[in-house]
Amino acid sequence: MGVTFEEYVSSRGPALIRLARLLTGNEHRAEDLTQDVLARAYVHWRRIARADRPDVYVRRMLVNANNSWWRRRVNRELATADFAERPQHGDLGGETADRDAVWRLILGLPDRQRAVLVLRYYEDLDDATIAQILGCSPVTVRTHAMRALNHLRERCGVPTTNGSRP
Amino acid sequence: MIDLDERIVRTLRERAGGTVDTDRLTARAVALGRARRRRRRIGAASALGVVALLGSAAVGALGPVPGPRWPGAEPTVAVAAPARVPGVPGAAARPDLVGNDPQLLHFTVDPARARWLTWQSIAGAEGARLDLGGGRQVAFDLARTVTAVEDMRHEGMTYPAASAGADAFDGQVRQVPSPGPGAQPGWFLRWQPVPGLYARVYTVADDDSVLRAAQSALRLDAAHRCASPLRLGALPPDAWLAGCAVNAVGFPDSLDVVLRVARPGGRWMQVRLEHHREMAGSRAEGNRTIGDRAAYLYPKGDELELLGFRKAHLTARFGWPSHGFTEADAAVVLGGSRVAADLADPRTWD
Repeated sequence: MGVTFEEYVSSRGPALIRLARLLTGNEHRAEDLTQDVLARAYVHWRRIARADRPDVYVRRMLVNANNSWWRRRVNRELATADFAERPQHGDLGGETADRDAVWRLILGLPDRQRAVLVLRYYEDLDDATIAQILGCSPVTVRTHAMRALNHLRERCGVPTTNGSRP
Repeated sequence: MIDLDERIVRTLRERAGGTVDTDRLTARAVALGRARRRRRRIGAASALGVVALLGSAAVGALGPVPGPRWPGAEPTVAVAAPARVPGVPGAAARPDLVGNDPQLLHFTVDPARARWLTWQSIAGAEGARLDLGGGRQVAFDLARTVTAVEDMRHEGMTYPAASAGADAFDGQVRQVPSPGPGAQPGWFLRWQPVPGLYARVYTVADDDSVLRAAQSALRLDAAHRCASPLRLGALPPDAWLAGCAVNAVGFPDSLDVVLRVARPGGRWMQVRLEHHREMAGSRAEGNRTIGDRAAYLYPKGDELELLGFRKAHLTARFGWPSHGFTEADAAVVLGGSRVAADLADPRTWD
C-alpha cells in the first residue's frame, strides 16, 4: 500500500524544511510553508503515495507554494547586494562574509532561478528531476541555471571559465 | 581560490542547516491535514443538509448519522457505512463464517457510539477503523486465527513490529511503546468473544480509555455487506474475489475502494477505485480499448486504467508486488466492472 504519510514526514520532513529555508530565506516562513504543504499533501496522500516518486511531487508542491507566496507579495524585503567590499578568501571571517554575500545574491534571484540553484547545488538533483519538480523541460532548467550563474559570476567578479556547471 | 560552485554549495548548506523537530512537524502536519479534510467535509455536508431540509429524503442504513446519538458527529455530516444484510447471522452465532466471504462482515457497531471510517474483509480477517468521537479512533479486527488478526493492518495506523500469540487474547489491555512519530503509545485489547474467534482493538493514544468504549460499541449479532460503489461482474479464469477494503475517512469528498482478485499460488491483482471531488478531469485519450471504452496502460506496463469516470480513477494493478495476472486479465476485470452512478451517494452503490 506504499509509505504512510507519517512515515514520509518522519523520514523526509527535515529535508523539506531545509529546502523551504533556502527557497524562502526565512526560517519561520519555511516552517509555515512546509506545514501548509504537508497538510495539503495529507488530504491527497493516497494518491501522492501511489506516484513513482512521491518526494518529487511534494517538493513540487513546496516550490509552487513558495512561488505563489512571492507573487502575492507586494514588496520584497531583500535587495540584491553587490560585492563592492568582497572579502579576501582564506580567512575565516572573510569566508563567512563571502557566504553572506553569496546568500544575498541568491535571494535576489528570480524565483525559478533560485529554485534551480537550490535543487541543483543543495539537493544535488539532476536536471531531469529538477524539471519534474518545476514542471518544465530540462532545457528550461539549464537556461535558468545559466542565467542565475551568469548573474552570480558578474556580481562576484568570477570569470566565466572559473568553476560552475553550465 | 574556491570556485563558484563550491561557494554556492557552502552557502546553501550553511543557510539550510539547523535542527528540525520531526515529531512536532509530523504531529502538526497531521493535525492541520485532518482539520483541512474536516472543513471540506463540513462544507460539503452543509450543502447536503440544505438538500435534506428541502427534500427530507430517507437514506436508510447508509445515510447521515443523527448528531445527538453519536458523541463525535458533526450534526449534518454525511457518512457512509456498510449496509446490513438481513438474514445473515453474525459472528457470535456462526463464527465459522468469519473471513470466508470478502463481501461480508459478520459484526456491527452501535451507531450511537461509533462511526465507520473504513471496513474490510481480506485475508481471512474482517475489520474496520472506527471513530468514537473526540478524535478517538480504533482499529478492530476479527478472525478465526491469531495469525490472521495479527497480520491485519489499517491504513492510517502505525503498528509495533512484534505480534502477539494466542495467550495475549485474554481481555487485558496491553501498552506498547510509541510505534510511530509522536510520543503517544499504542494500546491493544485482545479477547476471544466466542471460542474459535479472535478479536483485537488497537489505538494510538495518551491512554487506553477508548479501547473499552470501542469494545462495548461492537456487536457480533448482525452482518453487513462490504458496501462499495464498485462491483466486479467478470473475473479471469481460475480467479476469485479475495478481498474488499473501503476507506471512507474523507467521505463524501473522497473514497477509496480496493478489491483483490486472486489466483492459486498466492497471486493477486488489485482493482482500485479512487474518488476525490478535487480530481481534475480524467485522462481523455487512451492507448487501449476495452469493449467500446478507452483505457490507458501505464508506461511501466503493470497498471491498466479504464477511462471515463468523472472525479475518479478505476485501475487494475497486476504487477508488483504479486505478479500472476496479465493485461488481458485486467481488461476482463475492468470491462466487467460496474461503478455506481453517484459515488458520493451510498444509496446508489448496490
